[in-house]
Amino acid sequence: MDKTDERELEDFVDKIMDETILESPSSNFTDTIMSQIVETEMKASIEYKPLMPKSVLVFLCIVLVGLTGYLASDYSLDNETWFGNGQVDLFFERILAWPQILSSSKITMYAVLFFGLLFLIQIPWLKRYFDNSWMLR
Amino acid sequence: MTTVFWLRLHFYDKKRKLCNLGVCFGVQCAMTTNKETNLIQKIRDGNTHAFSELVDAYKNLVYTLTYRMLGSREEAEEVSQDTFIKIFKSLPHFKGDSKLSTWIYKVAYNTCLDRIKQNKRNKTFVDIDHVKDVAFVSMNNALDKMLQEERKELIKRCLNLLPSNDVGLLTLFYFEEQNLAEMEKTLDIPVSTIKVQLFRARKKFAKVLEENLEKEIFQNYG
Repeated sequence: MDKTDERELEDFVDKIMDETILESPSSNFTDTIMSQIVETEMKASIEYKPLMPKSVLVFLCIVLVGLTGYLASDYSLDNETWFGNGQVDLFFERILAWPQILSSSKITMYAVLFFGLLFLIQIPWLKRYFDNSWMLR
Repeated sequence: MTTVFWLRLHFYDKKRKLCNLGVCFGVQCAMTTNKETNLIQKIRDGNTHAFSELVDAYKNLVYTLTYRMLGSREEAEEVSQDTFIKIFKSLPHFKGDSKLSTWIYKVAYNTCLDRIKQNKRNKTFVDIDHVKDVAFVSMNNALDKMLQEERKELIKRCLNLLPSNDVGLLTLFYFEEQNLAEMEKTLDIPVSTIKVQLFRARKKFAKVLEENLEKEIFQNYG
């Protein structure tokens, strides 16, 4: 095909395409899409999203179990009379008396206080988060 | 620049009896309009009603493209719906560096290609290696003699007989008002390649039209 033929072809197709009409989807097309979108939005809004990632939770669990184990280390599981002869109280006394055990180290005490402070700082942040995600929806 | 685009759209609107494309008025060419930007912002802010405006504005264009590429009304409706859901989900990532319509066509075109790939089928194969002389004058005369409705029906049938890529390309070319730069953005193909593909698509269309026109004439007068 030379240039003239190409031009002729182009003009011909232009003319033909000019006559084409737009197709229309079904009358409830927009409604169907909107209902799907609302459904997706609803799913997204009620979907459970943990505040902390799983790895952090696992780490905290390990720390908790480790700390409990450390504090109770005087009453090891090898001791068969552990629960048998009234030493359960001693076990819990030791667990609950952990601040006294650690009081020898000032750094540890400051660390605990600092942790408490950070926890308190989080409270307004958490409140705002819950307000936004639940109450205002 | 702004006025030209407005006039072209207005003309297109009237000629094709398009749905309300008011979102495109008052544009800075090749970018999103202020109205479009406002609409997008509303949707991003969670106003789902604003999205229904966008759907109403583009549904016929998207549906026409998908119907021509897929050749089935049911499938086209399904793919068009998927397209709009994708658009809704991706709208927060739309940067506005192309026209909103171009971006919408891109999503629609790619969703169609995905569906075609998924179905592992293409509509037809049209051999154009042996097409040399197409008698445009006689074809024009024959088409002119046909009733308008018959002619439109024949053109629609022939478009449906074209391979998906070709009919998609031709449709986009006219939707994008023959703007190759916009098509480049839609298809992610260089302009030079688009020109070659368009030429081949036109050739195939002319061939299919010629064959079907002969059949039509033979049936009516033979």
